[in-house]
Amino acid sequence: MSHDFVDVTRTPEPGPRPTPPSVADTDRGPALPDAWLPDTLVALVRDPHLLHAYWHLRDLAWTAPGGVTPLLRVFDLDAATSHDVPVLMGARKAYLDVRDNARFRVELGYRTSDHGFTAVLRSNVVQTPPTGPSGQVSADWTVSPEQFQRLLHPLDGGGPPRYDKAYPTS
Amino acid sequence: MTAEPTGTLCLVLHAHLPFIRHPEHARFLEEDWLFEAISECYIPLLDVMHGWLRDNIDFRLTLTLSPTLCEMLADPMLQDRYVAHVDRLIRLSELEVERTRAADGTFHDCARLYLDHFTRARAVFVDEAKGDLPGAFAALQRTGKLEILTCAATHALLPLVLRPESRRAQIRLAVENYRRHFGRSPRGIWLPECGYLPGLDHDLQRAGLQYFFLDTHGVLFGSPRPKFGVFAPVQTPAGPAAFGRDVASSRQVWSAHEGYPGDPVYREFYRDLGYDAPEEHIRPFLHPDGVRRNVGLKYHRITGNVELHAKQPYDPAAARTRAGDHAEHFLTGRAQQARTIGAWLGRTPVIVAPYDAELFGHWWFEGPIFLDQIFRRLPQVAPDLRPVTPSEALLRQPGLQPVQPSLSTWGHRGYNEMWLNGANDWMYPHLHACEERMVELAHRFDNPGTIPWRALNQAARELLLAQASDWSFILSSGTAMPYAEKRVRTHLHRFRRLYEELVAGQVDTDHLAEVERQDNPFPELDYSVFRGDGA
Repeated sequence: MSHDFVDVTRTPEPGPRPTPPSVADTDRGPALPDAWLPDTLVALVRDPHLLHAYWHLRDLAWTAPGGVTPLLRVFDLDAATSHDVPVLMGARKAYLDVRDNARFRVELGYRTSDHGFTAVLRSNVVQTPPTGPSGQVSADWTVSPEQFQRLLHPLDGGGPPRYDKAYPTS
Repeated sequence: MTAEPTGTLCLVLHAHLPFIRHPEHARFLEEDWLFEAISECYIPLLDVMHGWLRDNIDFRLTLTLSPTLCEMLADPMLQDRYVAHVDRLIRLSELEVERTRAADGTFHDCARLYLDHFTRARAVFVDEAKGDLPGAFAALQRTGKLEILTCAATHALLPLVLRPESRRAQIRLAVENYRRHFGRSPRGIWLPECGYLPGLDHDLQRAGLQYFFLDTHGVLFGSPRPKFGVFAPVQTPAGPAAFGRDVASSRQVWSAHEGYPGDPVYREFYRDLGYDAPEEHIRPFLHPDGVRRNVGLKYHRITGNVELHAKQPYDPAAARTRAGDHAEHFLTGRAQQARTIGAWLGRTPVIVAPYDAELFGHWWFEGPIFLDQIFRRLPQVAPDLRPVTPSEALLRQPGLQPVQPSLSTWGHRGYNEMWLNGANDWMYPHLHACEERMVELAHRFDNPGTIPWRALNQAARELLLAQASDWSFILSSGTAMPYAEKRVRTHLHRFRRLYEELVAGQVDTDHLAEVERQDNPFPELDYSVFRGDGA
């Protein structure tokens, strides 16, 4: 093969080329002032086993009564249990391990000297999705375990399908 | 085709691009995303459908045209810029036809292919559609063979929108926008990224939407167990039906390794004349910054697992033949699948095969040929398989099982991870704070004067534009990150300024006019949609 200008042998490319910078690339936009944020603690579901929580407090003075460590207390509302996750107030976000198919609320606070807990912020309630089929079968729409297993078969390992897509599409 | 098919096939394409329009610049790189999609995806798709109609091919296709995409396609400035863009490519292709003829001819057929391709795109856009692509799709919808879906207004990932009023605003505005572009109400919606959370079906029902789509596990992990898996729509608690994605037909098209688009005969996307050509040759066709980028002329085939410099020349005829073979393989697989699953279920299965529309033509250059051949070969290859729109599929159902679907997306690993991780979680406190304040504004201002009314609408517009899932996706995927970050920050900054001016009772009308000029989608937008009442 010969042609007049494509001399690729001098410039081998190892793989897909990154997108070159656009005309806007030196400018990432205006700062967003934190002072505008309300005092809040918000929980979001990332996946069946992980919550994201972020918080903002305009007055951080409460954080060190006696030097105690602030905590996120994660309430499993269905199991009526909780667990604590120490946090740095300045981090203002955390990812929290949870179980699937359950409702959760998160509180930001600290342990008191009498083993109590003082909450400063309380989140919304979120529900993690299940990682497998429901145990409920409708009386009007009965399905045998064998038949349902055949319908689940394409999910391979049992979780959401994976396609290993070749293209940067969502 | 028999009276009672063994299966029905619902082919769904989701066409969406974020709203990118920069009148403050004479040319803007990211506007090319739209122009490339017009030439490579939307116009070839129109051509394919017109060909089916001309040749009496019985087809059914379901297509999302997202509200932001419709707004860009209907925008006169972007229409003019598209024509200038495709004219540059026609000129480059003409030069390439001459150059490759004068060389050894290896790439001459390819160069001619591109000249024909871009010339045809221009003719369809300018002469046939008169610049109005939404109108061209609307005309096809009136044949009953194409069903157009709406999508959330700016493609917000609804499970990560905090305020219910804000989710409803995304849906309600989408429905109003659809009416303006297509002259009727939408029957169905493509939830951005298939993102569903329990309760969302109530918002869809209030907006008059009859159905939506979920990824496979959103249905299969629903409660109670769906008797027919994803092979029949289910009825959500509020009423709208939910269709689930079929894994097998998705994998055959999506997968990097198993999927058709990775065939060695097909065109290689990443080897592009923009990098291969000498600088003096290509410079007039690059953006003014002179940086080498893809220009859309690609002369090589995938070849195999080799580096870009080892790619072999593209053979358009061989690729066309292969696309037909793949269409036949796809249909054979669906027909076999329908027979097997139909026997299990004791009813005719609905096979739902959804894809990003931009896969067909942009990433997978031969995708439009594949689509074309699906419906041309269906009567011979899979005569017992009936193509349907979702509305037709619902009419054929003897009854829908009530099921509560589970939270899910069709993104990486099936949930929200792609849009909520360390690369993009910084935006949510700001997005949610603006949601709170927009709802507050919607309730605070009742019957405002003209200037506050404009400012309220613009504040709503800025928030909606910031909510697009595209920005968090781009920040995760690592391409065009500064642009995505700037867009989020800019919209939220504009929102904050408008909010403060409204609360202070002092709107800067010069600033308002400027942001109205720059961020101008959704002329039908009324800020009161953020009150969340009504449908």
